[in-house]
Amino acid sequence: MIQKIALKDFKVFHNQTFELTPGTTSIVGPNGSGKTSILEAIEFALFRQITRKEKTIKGVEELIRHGRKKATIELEFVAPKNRRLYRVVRMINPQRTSADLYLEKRTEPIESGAKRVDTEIISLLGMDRHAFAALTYVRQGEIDLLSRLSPKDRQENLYDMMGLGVYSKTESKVQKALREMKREIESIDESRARLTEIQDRLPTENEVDNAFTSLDALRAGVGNEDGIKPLETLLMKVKESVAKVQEELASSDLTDKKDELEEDTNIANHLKQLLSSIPGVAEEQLRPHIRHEARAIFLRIFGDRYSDFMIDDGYDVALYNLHGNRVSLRAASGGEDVCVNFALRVAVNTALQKYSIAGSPPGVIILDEPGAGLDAQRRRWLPEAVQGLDSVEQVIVVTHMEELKESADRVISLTPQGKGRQPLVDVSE
Amino acid sequence: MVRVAHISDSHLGCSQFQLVERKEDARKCLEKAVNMAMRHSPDILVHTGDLFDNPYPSWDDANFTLDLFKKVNEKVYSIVLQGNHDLPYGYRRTQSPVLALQNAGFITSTGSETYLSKTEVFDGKSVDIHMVSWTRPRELQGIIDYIPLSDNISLLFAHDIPSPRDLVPSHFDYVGIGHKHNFWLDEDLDLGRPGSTCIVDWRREQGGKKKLIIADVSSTGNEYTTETLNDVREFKYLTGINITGMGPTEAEEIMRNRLESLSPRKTKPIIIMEVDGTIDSETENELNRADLLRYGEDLLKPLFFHIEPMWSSLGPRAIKLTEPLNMARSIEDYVKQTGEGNLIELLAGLEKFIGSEAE
Repeated sequence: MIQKIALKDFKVFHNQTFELTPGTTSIVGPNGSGKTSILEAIEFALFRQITRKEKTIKGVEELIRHGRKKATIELEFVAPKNRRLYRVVRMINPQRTSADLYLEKRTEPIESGAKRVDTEIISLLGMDRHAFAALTYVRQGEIDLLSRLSPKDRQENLYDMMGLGVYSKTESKVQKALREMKREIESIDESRARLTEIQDRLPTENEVDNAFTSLDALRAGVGNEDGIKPLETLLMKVKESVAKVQEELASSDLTDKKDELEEDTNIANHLKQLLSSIPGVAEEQLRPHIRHEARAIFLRIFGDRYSDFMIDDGYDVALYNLHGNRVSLRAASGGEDVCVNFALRVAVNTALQKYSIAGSPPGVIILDEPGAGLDAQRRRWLPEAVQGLDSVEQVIVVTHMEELKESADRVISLTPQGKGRQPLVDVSE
Repeated sequence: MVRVAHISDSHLGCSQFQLVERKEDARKCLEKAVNMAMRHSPDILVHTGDLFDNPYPSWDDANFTLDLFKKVNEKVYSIVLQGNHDLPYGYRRTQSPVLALQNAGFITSTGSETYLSKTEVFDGKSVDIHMVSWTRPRELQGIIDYIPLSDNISLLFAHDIPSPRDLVPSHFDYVGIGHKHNFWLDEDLDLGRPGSTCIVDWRREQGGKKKLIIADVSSTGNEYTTETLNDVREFKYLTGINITGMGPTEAEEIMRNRLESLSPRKTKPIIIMEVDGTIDSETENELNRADLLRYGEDLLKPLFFHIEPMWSSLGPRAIKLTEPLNMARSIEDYVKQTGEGNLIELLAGLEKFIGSEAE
């Protein structure tokens, strides 16, 4: 759970503190007022990285307010692992960032240095960046995307939204490593073959020694030292080459390296197979929970109009009206259609929080523009839906929709003041 | 006494697994069947329909049938019915390829009608021959019901009679049908079905027999001789392979062993392996069917080797992951619960291959 964010020279914010409380907090403001910057600040404070789908951030320099030398983010959060308050302070300088982690109100940091703070936070949260993103974020456009997809594509996208996409990404990395190792083994084989060929063409050591013996005999018989000298030099050269080839063939680059690579290949193959199997197992394990959570969320919103909501194994959705008859999703109005996917998407997060980590859940869900792409008619149930999300401690909604103001316990309104100026922040309970 | 040689369903032009060799095989099978029948010097040679697999046969097949029936034309009274495969869609009898044979005068068929009745004299006796080509069951019923009783020997040939025990009156001396590809002879009812001359659909014909039926029909009672008709190509079925609960290596080994135990008599047989059982999806993913096929092909040099996957997949293995999103932890859980080894190497490999998180 996040309690306080203080930003100094971070993007558009000159000096701003946001206090967050349990319950629903809406961050409302028009486009370009810095809503997403707040989310990015949270992510950066925790993981020193920012994930964005469309845009790429080239360097941390972009996070510093224009014309300033450094930015500071201070984030207070309750660690799920021990329920104690921590404060992480990260300073962003061009090229490098520094970080300090403080426990509650102590003035001496318990950890310093970017790397050390990163690992400490990961163990405090009980999860890494991928898992945290999968557990807490509902990104812009994901709900709308789900409602536009066919059930099969929806399943694939849900895999990603569940954070299981990281397995296939890793799998392709392993695949790449496998390909490289194969190439290396091939090149070793090739140079071996080449050396053996050379060895075949060269005389053997015995033959060279014999040649030396007969040279000595020749020298004793003929006695013409000047005539024999070039022959001896030639024979010396041949002997050197024979020794060199033999040495190279026996070198560890060609023998031990290959064994090592083959062993690695076996392990990589095994790993690849595991990485392809685990997402299926994980999904199987999480599916009933997602189903259960989605049903609860949907019925809380539309319980007066529908009696049941079922998701089958292929993530196909069936609705049942109050008489118990099945209503096809096409026949339901657009609002219900989107709500179904809202329930499904949020259920992924709540189910993951409850069942996918060993420790306690982070207790926060961040909804980034849940109503994106929907007209007023199709999102009329959204405030109610957001209000109903009581299974997690803290819900942060970032939106430009005015109607979500009423559903939140606490509203942070941002009013832009023009380019390069900090937006006006107004907090109402 | 009149001697009837009964064959059926030659399906010229059919090709199992789309193998061109099988088209040639189908012709050889029909020729073999006709030659076997002629050795019994019958009075009537009847083919109860589905001469061709397709109502628009290839030139090879059409010419082949013309040659074949021309050869036996002098020696026997040949009848060929039109089966469902010989008729273009919508019972367009005028376009049936069997008509060409009839017009050439080599055979007798029902022509552009569904039903034809003829009375011929064999061995000094009058014989009524009733021929019914493929038609709707209702029309078939009507035709059979209205065939009058007579003192002559009366024969009924139809491409298919569904449930003939109930449908066919008992006054016929011999009833010959086809359509289904397995042999059936009921000597009490005087009803015979030889089955197809070649194997058309291995799934349905597996385990069934095909026989040439020679019926010596007389008013006092019939005598039957049957002779087994084998396909010219050897079919080897490997059945009863059950891989329930096995891992991929074990399952593959069992299949390999079964292949090794096989000793085909002819060259280039067709080998079909049916694999049953219930396995988990990990095994299913890792079963290397391409390798097995290659292995079988190298070992036995068949015309074709087919593995029929009749197994069902249970879905993923029952493994409890404590943290599904934590890769290293999940690998640890998986390896521990499945009893696979190399955990330390795997985890080291994971770090080695993906590099550190920051990249």
